[in-house]
Amino acid sequence: MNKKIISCCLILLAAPLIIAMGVWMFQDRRYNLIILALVLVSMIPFFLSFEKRQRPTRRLMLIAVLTALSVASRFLFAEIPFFKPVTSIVIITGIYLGPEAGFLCGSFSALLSNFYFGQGPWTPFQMFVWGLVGFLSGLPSLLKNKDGRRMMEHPAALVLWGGFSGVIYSLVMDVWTTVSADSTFSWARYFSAITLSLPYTIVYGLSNIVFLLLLAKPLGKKLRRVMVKYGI
Amino acid sequence: MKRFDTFHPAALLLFYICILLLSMLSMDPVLLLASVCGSISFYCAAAYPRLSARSGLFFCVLFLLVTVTNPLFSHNGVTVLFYLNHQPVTKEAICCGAALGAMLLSVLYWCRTLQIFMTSDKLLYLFGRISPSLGLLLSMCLRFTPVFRRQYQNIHQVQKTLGYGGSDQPLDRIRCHVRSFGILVTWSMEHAIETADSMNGRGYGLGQRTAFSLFCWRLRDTLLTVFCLAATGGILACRAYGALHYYYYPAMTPHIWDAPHVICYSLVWLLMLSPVILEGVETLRWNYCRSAI
Repeated sequence: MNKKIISCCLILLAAPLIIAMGVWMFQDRRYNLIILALVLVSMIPFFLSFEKRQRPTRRLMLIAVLTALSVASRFLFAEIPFFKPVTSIVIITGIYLGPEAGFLCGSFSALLSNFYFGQGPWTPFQMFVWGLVGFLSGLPSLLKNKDGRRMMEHPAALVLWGGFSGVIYSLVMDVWTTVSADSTFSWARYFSAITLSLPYTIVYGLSNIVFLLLLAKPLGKKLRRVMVKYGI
Repeated sequence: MKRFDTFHPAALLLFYICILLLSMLSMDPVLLLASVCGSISFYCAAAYPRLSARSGLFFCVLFLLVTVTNPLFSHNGVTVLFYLNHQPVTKEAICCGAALGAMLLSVLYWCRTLQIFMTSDKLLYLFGRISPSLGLLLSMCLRFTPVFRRQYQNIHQVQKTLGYGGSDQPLDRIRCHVRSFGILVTWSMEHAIETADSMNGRGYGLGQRTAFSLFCWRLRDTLLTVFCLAATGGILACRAYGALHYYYYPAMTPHIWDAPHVICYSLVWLLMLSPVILEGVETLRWNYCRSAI
């Protein structure tokens, strides 16, 4: 328990330390390095908590399957450009398997699909955003009596959250675009990046909504069946 | 066979961390020029038979775009070249934009070579060392992705033979895709549970597991590691003594050629060009050996 508290404190301290180092060593000018380090550090607690706890093998395999499905779906729906069900599968994983599995599924989907589509400094950002989307969509299902899950299964909630997660994805990735093209942050550049990427944001949001409405019911049914059948 | 393929993954990772850190460290034009030259020449050497002109053009356009757009957002600088919509366009802003573009270009090219050399098996080896269950998850996902793609092709073929999705209507085709995808999901989950049971049957989760790997730490890995650390340490030390502090606004810093600057620049050029030199020597040796047969 003591060890856990110490590691928690270290991670909590790491973020301000990195920022302080950025101000002191780089005179507050190297945002791109600092933000990359921050994103990497902020993912450590999620991965650590996964590593620490022993998990049933079946559950582990289910997470692996959903992650691989979301990566494969990026190829399977290649016929329709920009319409990709990756985020929807990550959200569904979060809803049914909990926030931790959602984070893993999201971040690993980003890492793995970039093996095919090109790794770059944007990989940690994609890992973080997709992981966060998965994590957040899993939070309501932690409520008692599975009320949260039932709430998230509602089509209205799916539409809202799907559209919103597309917007979050675009907004966070635009932070990276701005910082990588400017190395410090400027609001003017950020707003122009948002405006330029607006059509993509809309397509992301729309594809999330469409695929969530198409997939949530059948995929959820299948997941629930497997979970009941094998007691996961 | 490329020279960089034969390095140990850990040495390779350290090399790339050093290089990427230094490329993003400063806006000094000498450092950025070294980084751009090093990364592009290394990429050309690494991807030699499969170079594409289209991606090169794309990166050129990206560089120009960053250079041109910077003066639109930043009106700092003392040397005004002309006025655009009553806003000054300065020489400093254009130079700063070119430096930002160069930084972006070099980082992107280093990442492209990283992708060539840091293949998924090497990443898995590194990941698996630090965190066994995450490594396991990653390796299973890596295996499942191509399996699912192939299985999906099979399912989709059968669905088409059954008469689904044959028409030209896009909605019909999408519906067929979703149907095939649903079948794939069911199949893959049952498959996964079987795999999990099989793993349990073979004693997964009982005590220490070992992982097989072909990588071993050789003398050249030690040399690369020591070289990287020494060069990076030297550059950072020079930075503490006043090198690599370059500013574009209000006026560009004039270059001073004192000891820390000269040492720093030579170290930077040495480090940035080391990969392409290593690759070049290896290629020459290979050609020499082949001609000697």
